[in-house]
Amino acid sequence: MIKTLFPNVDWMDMWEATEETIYMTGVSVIATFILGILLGLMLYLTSRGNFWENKGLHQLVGAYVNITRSIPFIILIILLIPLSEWLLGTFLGPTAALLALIVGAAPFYARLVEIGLREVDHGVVQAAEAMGASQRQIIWKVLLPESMPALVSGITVTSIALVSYTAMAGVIGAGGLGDLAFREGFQRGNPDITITSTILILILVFIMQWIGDWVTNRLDKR
Amino acid sequence: MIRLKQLEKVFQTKTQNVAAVQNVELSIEEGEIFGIIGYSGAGKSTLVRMLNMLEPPTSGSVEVSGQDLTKLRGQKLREARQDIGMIFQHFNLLWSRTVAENIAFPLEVAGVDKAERETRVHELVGLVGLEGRESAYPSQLSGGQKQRVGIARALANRPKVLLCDEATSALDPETTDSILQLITNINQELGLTVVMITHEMHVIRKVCHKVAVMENGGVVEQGPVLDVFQRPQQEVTKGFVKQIAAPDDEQAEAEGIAPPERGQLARLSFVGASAGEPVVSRLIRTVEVDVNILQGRLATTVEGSYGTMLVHIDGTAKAVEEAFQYLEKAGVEAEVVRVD
Ligand SMILES: Nc1ncnc2c1ncn2[C@@H]1O[C@H](COP(=O)(O)OP(=O)(O)OP(=O)(O)O)[C@@H](O)[C@H]1O
Ligand SMILES: [Mg+2]
Repeated sequence: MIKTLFPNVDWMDMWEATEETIYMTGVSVIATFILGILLGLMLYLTSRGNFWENKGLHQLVGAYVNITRSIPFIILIILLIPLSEWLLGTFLGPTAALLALIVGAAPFYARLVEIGLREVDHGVVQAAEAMGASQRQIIWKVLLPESMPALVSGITVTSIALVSYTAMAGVIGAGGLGDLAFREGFQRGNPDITITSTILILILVFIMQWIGDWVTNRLDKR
Repeated sequence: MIRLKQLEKVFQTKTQNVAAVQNVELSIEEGEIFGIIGYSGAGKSTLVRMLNMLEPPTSGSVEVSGQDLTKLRGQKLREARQDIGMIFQHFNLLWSRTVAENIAFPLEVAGVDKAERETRVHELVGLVGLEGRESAYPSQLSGGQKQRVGIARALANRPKVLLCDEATSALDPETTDSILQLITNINQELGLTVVMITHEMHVIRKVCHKVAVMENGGVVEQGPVLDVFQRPQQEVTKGFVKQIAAPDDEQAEAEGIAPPERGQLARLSFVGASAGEPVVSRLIRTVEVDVNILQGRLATTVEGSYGTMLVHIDGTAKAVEEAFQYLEKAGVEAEVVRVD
């Protein structure tokens, strides 16, 4: 049955491609989460009326975020080739793709983090200040926990975007399901491979969305 | 306990400078419940926020427990703040933490170890009457319960001062009473100095010993609650007094009253300890008159009552005369009201 429906699918290759996609997405999501929160905190804290209010720094970080966020991912990969060569010694393969994935996704996530932090009730921050909390305590005990549902739903959106970025990372030989669908499916005229890859990507996205929603709901006590 | 000298706060906005607080001199003694009343925009919140440097003053000094807070920075200021609790109109609890975790927050900030935190939280939960709700989240509590958490949290580090900014303004009248009662109890049991900001007269009346009236950023009148509200000097103060005892109303309604066949109509103004029914009932027992209370507006404060009463004193001319003399001796101002 499966053999007749998907005559050209090599399930070993398919599994390997799935693993590559999961690897690239997983590592870049973790790195994006950390980096995005750092950048988002910078954006938030340097904005008007906050601890490190600093117009120059705020605009600098904002410009970096806006620029990297606006460059189409496929072009970002090409632009980052020299950096990958210098940092990693090569611009090919899944690890080189990670660099582009993180550089591309972290600024996008940073904006979502900033929005989440802005939504933290200013009164609560003031209450913490009134209790004698230090800035570090306010960041760790108030800002991050209070915005956590927004941070998690933001990283869910970002990771789904990352899955589609991994597909484009095929151009630098990163592998993955998107690459398989393009090379083996489209270029060699095997629509069953394209369809199978698509289904697997959809399953991956649904699982991530489901986990993200579940965690967000668990965290949200409002 | 708290001394404010020449305190001033000017906000600079793009278009203008707003003098939110100007030239404030205040002295608040230890163990006192000190009320600050004023209409919206008078500068009350700005003033109270300068008491813990949430708002740094433009000039002047804020001395709490002998320490000038305007001179403190960094860690020193944070330590001083741990001695000043604060509660807010909108509670400002962390919704991501349970009741117990919210109360533990200031203890974590102060670096209290876990075991000690737990005992202290347990004590505080009992103090504010929230037993059994320790693991509830703020979203599962009523307004009054949230404010109880706010109070417990403010008291966690055993502060010497409690600042309340419109702490009951978001609550219904009954809940307001229970929170005011709790604050009074805390004041008495712990000897805490309390500063209460409000725009509601009855809050001042129910719990405060002293009051300052604010208008346009300045304190226009201050002193013991009873003194200030019996003999209001400023228009603002008179306005607030009217919220409780409204002589204008009585004047209007006296017009609808028929002239008595015998005796006199009189308006009695009560002052302090002499207030209330005992005077009237003693009058009836001492002098040969009947007293009909036609209208009465009495407000009770911590130290006594004040207000006015419109009465018909019925009796022979001689007896009525005696009644007026009796009232005067009892310290009640009596004024004959003529209607026609
Ligand atoms: N951060 C600020 N920037 C500019 N102006 C401010 C700021 N905070 C307060 N003000 C101004 O200072 C004045 C006093 O405000 P404040 O909040 O102290 O009044 P309030 O007596 O507490 O009023 P309410 O009863 O409405 O809370 C107002 O005119 C207000 O617009
Ligand atoms: Mg206010």
